[in-house]
Amino acid sequence: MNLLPFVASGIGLGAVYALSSVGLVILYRASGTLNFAFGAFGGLAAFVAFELIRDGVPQLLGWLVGIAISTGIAYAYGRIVAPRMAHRDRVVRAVATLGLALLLLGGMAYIWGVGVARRLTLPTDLSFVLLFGVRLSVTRLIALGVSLAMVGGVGLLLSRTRIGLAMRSLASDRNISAVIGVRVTATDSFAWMLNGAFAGIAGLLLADLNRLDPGLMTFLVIPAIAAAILARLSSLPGAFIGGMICGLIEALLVAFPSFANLRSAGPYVAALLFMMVVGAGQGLGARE
Amino acid sequence: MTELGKTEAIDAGALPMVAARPTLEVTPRLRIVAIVVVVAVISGAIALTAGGYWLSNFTQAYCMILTLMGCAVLYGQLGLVSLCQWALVGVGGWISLRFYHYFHPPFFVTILAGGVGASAVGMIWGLPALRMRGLYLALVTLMLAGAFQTVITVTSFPVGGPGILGQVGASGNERIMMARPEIASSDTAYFLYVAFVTLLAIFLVEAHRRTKPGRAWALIRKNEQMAMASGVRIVFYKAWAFALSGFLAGVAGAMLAGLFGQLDASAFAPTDSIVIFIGTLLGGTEFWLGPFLGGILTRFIPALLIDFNVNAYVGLLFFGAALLLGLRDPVGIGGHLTGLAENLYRKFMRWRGS
Amino acid sequence: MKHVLSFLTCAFTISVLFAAAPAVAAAPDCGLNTGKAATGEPIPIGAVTTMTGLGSFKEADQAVKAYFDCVNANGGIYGRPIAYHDEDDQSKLDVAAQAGKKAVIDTGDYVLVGSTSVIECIANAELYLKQNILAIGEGIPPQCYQSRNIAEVNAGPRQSGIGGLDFARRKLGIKSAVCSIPKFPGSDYSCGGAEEWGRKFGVKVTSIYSDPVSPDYGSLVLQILATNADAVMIYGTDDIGAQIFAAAEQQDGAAKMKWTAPTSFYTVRFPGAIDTKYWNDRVWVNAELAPLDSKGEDNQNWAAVMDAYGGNALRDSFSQAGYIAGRVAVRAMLTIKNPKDVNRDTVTAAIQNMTPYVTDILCQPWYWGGPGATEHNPNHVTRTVTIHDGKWKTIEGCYNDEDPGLASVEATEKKLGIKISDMAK
Repeated sequence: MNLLPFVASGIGLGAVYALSSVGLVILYRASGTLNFAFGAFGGLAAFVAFELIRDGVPQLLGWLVGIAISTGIAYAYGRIVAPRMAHRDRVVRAVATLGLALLLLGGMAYIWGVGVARRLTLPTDLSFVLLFGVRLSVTRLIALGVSLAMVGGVGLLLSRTRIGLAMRSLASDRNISAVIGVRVTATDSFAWMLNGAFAGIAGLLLADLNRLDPGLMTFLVIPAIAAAILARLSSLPGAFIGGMICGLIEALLVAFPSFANLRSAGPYVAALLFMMVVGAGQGLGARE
Repeated sequence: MTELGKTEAIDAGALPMVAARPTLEVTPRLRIVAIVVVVAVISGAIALTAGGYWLSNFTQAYCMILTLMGCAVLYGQLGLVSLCQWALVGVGGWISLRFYHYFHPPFFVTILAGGVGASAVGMIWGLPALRMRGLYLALVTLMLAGAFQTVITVTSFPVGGPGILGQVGASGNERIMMARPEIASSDTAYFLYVAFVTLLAIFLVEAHRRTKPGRAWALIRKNEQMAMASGVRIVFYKAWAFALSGFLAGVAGAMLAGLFGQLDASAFAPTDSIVIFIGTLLGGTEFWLGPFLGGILTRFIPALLIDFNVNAYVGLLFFGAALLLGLRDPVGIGGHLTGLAENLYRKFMRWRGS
Repeated sequence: MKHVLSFLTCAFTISVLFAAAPAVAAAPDCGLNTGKAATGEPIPIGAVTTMTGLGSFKEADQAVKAYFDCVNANGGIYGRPIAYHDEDDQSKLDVAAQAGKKAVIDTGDYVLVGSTSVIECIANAELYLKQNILAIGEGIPPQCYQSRNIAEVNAGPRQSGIGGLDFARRKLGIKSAVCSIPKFPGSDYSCGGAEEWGRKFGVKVTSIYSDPVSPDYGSLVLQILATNADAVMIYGTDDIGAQIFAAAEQQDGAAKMKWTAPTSFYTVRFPGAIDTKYWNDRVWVNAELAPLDSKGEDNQNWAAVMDAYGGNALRDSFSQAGYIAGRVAVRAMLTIKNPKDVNRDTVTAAIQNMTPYVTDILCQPWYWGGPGATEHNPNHVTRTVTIHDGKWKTIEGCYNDEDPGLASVEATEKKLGIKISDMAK
């Protein structure tokens, strides 16, 4: 079977994973929390936008409100719940966000239902460019562009701005940062807001590229974590590349009949191999 | 001294958590008596009162207790977080079902097969743990749970069909259910059977904690360099812990398979494994009460919501909120109960002394 | 301001009255039709249905409940009202098994009516057999069709898929087809059936078992298109289906092959979830029940029951099927002349020995086939619909699904004298 078409469709899927994994790494770098609720934030944004647009609100406004909602929820969590968890170890902080994810999932599923055929489309879905004989929709290109812009933008934010400096110092040592006058809570909240906003943007694109479904959008965070592992949870360009690799693996496995229906395990196996071969004793894991 | 021993024996019966606290200088024998009494009283009460729905749910809860004990061994004794314990339950269930459909052995042999098989897999899955800690270990195990979900969704659990996967479908033949032990074919008897196995498992872990492995784990947790210096074989004892927790999960999987006669892949999403770990945190790692309470709660709350016909999504909403609230608390319910018991005990001693 | 409000309220009331008017006009036909409420000892009847998890099929139970409410208001079963309850199985095996225990053991139901689930038959077939209780509902896994104590109103995915492909063979002239299905236990029962059918009719059928966890529908569509077959049968739920159709549209898939789907796509929401301009007259869906707006007598009665007792429950195919299930159960129970004798064993026997139920909602009468019947597939004659101008349009009436695996079922039907009803044509 000709592999090239699947490379093209893998780039499309990779864009989806890259968006999420970049979003995850940004928060982890800034506050040490791996956010299992990232997908649920995105789902909420997409559902709010979907509901508003269906009720006749202009598309752009619908999207903005959706993103504002996910940003607000993320801020609330970062302000109210996260500080109370700050004394616990990283694993507990991470799994606590699963509680938030389940809470949001329950709410979304109750309000909007699961397994309901619906459509959230963007005007860019039907314009395309040809790549290896496959049509790559402009929405997918936008997803690629947005995740690259996120990598660049946050890179600049971290290296050039005061709040970026504060975030970097928090990531390296919370106590010392507090002592030298970094405003811990404010910086943390800002990181959460950023995470929520990115989740919202990612969620809108995901809902269009995959499916607007509460469960699917919430649990898509797990393959995104696989992509983030390929970046050792620290490098932003790494997270982008990790996402692309995971998408390519998943799409390319279709071409191999004996693995085709196991392809969603591809990202996990890639992450496992990476950790076994490359990851030990280095990166953030070693510092803990 | 004899006087004191007597008082404690009475306390242990009436207030079981007193016995669960080694600092109260409870002798091992008393502790065993207390565990037996508590498990027997609770299980007996359930067996006498529960109908079909609740018996099934409590049987499932006991399987969760076993899984949580495995988690508690890793987290409580060694500080290792495994987010694939529920996937190991699936592994044990798959192996026991496969074993059953090939050989039709006595039920306890099926359980042992599930336990030993999952133990071996757990040890292999634990290999990365020898070099990793903290969040990274947790994520590696989560990746394993994710991969397991994909594989089990596609292969599914054996149901007595042909070939290694044992599927039926195109051939159209009937699914064969895994039979329960002859002495425990009714729902009530099977529940008591599972309770008995749970009791044995508690003693198995208890025995580990009181002998060489327990001391080695304590030392490793305190300081790995020190442990190594004092001649503890770190790799060996860590692997042992993973094997033990895998064994418990495997036994749980086999007993779940016996409960329903079959298993389904839909129950083994990676998030289920995370919920098991959260259950460990909520119950507290305080052995044995923590996992016992945690296991019952993680099944009891959803079952109660279902029984009251609460919409499952609203239930999930409550469950998520409860997890968030519960996780702010570092000792868990088991920890609070033992703390409370200790306070009461101190007050009692002071009152006796005055 | 106050006047405006009262005017609005008034206008609203009037419009509600007008909207409700047709329901008052046609009093539905329910059970004994006495017009007197039943007050005797309740008859417990339950259902185990998927309401959360992979989707929600509670419309079936809502229709059963509406019909039972109507029967209870009209004399019940010779004075005994039906107490109906339904349990959610959350698409999970364990919850389904526990819900089954609750209904069959704890509540002591006499019969299960309306169960519509993705997993329930797998979990409970053996329990029903042991407890001598029957279940009439709608099912997806093969166990719903191959069990002694379960019979479904719907045709099932295997029948529906074969029916869709057979239409394409007869009317669209296909010589090869792809059967695309997410890999689940029992999925090879559906696509395996299509392959069997293909061998019989000289159509080359290849099956694609896709990864049900992967959200990458784009690659699946490429995999389908790479086969260069004449047609494709897309299995799955309508929400995932809509996304596969969106991905297919991006690759201009409709120009490359004929797209067919089983009845799970024939929902009220599906046309709204795809680009109906692109897919106009280019998607063929198998339909197991009469169109929702059918003027048939029984279908009109379903509509009247729903108007009078259904509240705002969604009116869809599941609702029609639930109505039939409720009606079959009530009809069988009314053959037990002394209401004191109504219990699980008598209800089981009454349904097993029922005379075929003739209805215009189904293509052929619904029957159980006696106590000895080991498999049940009374509905295997189906219709074909397409999407035209954004709406469903029937393009072929009742036609047998031509499943080679139905030989024994068809032999039973020959004995019972079952054939396609005139009223359904």
